[in-house]
Amino acid sequence: MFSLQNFSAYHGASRVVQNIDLEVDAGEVVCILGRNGAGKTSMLHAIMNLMPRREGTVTLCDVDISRLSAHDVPRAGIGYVPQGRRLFSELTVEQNLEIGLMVNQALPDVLGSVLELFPILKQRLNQVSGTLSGGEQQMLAMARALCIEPKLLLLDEPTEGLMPSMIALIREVVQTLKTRGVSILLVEQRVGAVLEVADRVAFIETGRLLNTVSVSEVEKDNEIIKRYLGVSR
Amino acid sequence: MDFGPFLLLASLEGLVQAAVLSLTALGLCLTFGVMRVVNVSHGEFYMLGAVIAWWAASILGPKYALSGYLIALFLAPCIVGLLALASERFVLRSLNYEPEATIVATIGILYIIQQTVLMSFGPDAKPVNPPFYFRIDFPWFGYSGYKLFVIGAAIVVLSGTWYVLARTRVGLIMRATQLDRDMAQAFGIPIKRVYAYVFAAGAMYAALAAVLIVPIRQAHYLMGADPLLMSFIVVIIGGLGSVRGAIVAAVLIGMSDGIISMFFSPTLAKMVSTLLVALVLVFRPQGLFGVKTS
Repeated sequence: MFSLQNFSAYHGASRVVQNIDLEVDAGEVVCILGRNGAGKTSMLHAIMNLMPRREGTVTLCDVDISRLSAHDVPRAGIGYVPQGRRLFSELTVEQNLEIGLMVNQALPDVLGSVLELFPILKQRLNQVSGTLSGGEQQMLAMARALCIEPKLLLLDEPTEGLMPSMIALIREVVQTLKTRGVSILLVEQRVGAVLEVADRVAFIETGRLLNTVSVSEVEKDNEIIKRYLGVSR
Repeated sequence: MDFGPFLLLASLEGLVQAAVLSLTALGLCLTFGVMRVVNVSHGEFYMLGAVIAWWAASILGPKYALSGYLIALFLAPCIVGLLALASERFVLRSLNYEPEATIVATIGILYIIQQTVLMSFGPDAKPVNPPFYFRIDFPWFGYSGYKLFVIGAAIVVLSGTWYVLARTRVGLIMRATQLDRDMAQAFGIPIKRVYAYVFAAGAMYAALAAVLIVPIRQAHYLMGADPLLMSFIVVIIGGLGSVRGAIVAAVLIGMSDGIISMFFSPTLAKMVSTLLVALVLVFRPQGLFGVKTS
């Protein structure tokens, strides 16, 4: 469904993502784990073509999207929920969602189905998004990305700084999207949360993909996490 | 003349100043707000608008002053907008909109436009006839109907701009681009196209302001410096990139400029404007309506 082949990205002269090969099947959740500064966020940024330079091949549904300009990547079907949410903070909730809907000229029923996943946003439509709570902002960031009806969703630390009830809600939404066949590339620090929703885990360090293992393997072997991340589960 | 009527006259002059300044500053403000480009050539787009107005008026002659004026109102923003589009495409885009590089580049554009106009138009100031003559008679003095038209036209254009920015999809796209360039792209907004249109629109506002004012002030190849300086003052006082701030500051500066010029001298008016900028920079660096950044 989605694949990266020999994928690299650069910040100026330094290569921050190096020769990554990775595949994500339809409805599969692949989690990227790595220490701080390993290149996880840069990798998602580069997939969206928001880095100054990238190399390699990016394929979505058998279509090569490597040469697409940044604003055409979402049109191809990739939704992005960035680290720190990065909402259009001076715009209202409704306007943020409208921008998501503009991508593919989505119909209003798309908005309806997105708001079913996050009912609290229905009551906040006219509120300026910068004044929402952290959890509500995260919901809006996910809702905005879902408005483009993505085939692949890039989620960058969606549970960062959230209270447990919000984390549970986001986990639930990820499970729902999985059953709808949406593929998800998830960057997450909480190993416990990852194992509950992910199908496979990809470990990266200094921009290189070290290994990809299934969640069942990680659950069986406690040493895997320690080996790649230097911490115990 | 008594103090009251003289104050009314000075206020009307201030409103004319404010009307033209708000249009000119709005262009500069949009360019900076959305693109983060400090357009030093903005005053030359203004000057070019005035020169095109003179050219249209001189071709048709004083007999057809109204026709010449209407043609200029349409043609000047269009020609200047196209020139701005070309500048954006071949200069600013090549520099990847880097703030420092674009300042130097727009200084270059300033001199190219200015010297080209000097060579083709000459060094002399050229008058343009007002498109119509009528006086509004107050009990104490008569006042130019054309000047009131300038105020009215500016209000119409500013209201239209507010409507576009606040209520339309185009405005939403511009505001999203202004707030987060990367996220705008991640949601399908072609920011290079947005930048091109915004740069052209900014220049068109300057050209329009010049067409409105040229029957009062004359066209001259060096006339761009003053509106550029005043626009910078307005944009800094209003808050960099804040459209609301730019309009409020333009009214404030325009009124104080008009009133102080009438009661004292234009030099003192400029000194007060510059002092206001200094005060804002010291006590509220983000400007009246700007957002404080860490």
